[in-house]
Amino acid sequence: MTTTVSRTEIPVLEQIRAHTQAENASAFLALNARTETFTSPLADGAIAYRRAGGYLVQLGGAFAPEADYAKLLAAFLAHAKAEGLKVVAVQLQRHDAEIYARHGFTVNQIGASWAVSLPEFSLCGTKFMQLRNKISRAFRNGLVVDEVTAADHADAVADIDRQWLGSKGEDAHQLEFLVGEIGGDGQPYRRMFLGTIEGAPVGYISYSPVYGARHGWMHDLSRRIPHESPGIMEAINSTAIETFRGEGVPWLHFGFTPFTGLDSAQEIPGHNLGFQWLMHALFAQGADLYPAQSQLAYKQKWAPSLVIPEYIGFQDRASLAGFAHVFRACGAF
Amino acid sequence: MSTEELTQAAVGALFGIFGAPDDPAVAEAADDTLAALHDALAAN
Repeated sequence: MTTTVSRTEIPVLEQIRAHTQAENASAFLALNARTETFTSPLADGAIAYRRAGGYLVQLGGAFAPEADYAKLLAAFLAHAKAEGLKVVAVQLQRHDAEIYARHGFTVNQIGASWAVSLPEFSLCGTKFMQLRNKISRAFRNGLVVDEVTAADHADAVADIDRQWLGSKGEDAHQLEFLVGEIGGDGQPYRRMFLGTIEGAPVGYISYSPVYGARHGWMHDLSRRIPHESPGIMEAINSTAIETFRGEGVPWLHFGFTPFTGLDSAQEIPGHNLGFQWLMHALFAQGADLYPAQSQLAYKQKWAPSLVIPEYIGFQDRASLAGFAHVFRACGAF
Repeated sequence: MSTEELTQAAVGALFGIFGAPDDPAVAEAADDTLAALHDALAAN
């Protein structure tokens, strides 16, 4: 159900498709509506970022050819300096992280993304028994899952979003920047699976394209109506997995979860021990900041075959202010 | 301060930035706390 759109219509899309050395499964988030794109006449490629207070918060590394990568980064840093701003880069992949460290950044692991290799994937076996039961229960309760075009179901999506957000409390608002969105320039490239019970929408999952050697789809935005049948999201995702497997898609990515998958062996020389320690503390006790453990629990249900470390890069020394501004760029406060 | 105390101080400093994100003094103090935590861990 994908729609073909000319590659030349969205310049940043062209860059993330062309420059995949970092294998960033979240690169498509560069197309989010309020995310800006930096380019330079001095170098090919693009950098995706948002301004938050005194920071430019960068999504991933530079999407640029190897020969131009450092030049584009230097141009971006010069742009930030001219504006009196600092740069903090989040969701750097290992490839990016090593380059940023060489350019004076303090780089630390901030979390991980998780992926399932689809050709080998099967829900058979005892390790998936609970998941199978949950999915079966949802279907027994009348769930029907269809792949749909988001624009044709805008009212259903809006209704699910409203009820989902309402369940999060009075002050809740949707996060941005590091999570996907529905609509905008990127929508023709995404896929949506919608769950209904007796014709009424109860949940959806939006999948974004992933380019590069581990190409496939990323389980991105997911919402459900609270207090409906258990297993709705699992049933929607299992339906999507079967669809993707039928198409020969090699990878399903579950995206980035901060504070998870922390591994001292993955740290970059020169990393800040205090920040590393803090990430472990926030995984254990930081649910008020981000519900990393519950997010991870959902991803681990699918027995991901790949854990990919992701990094944060601070211009100069490690910075809690820089870290906080990642959350600010996401609209968390 | 112990590592545990510095960790709690760092978490407190982080939430302090959420309350005053544009105050450079709050940011500087928070980053100094993080540096102190790094030094304490490096010394252990």
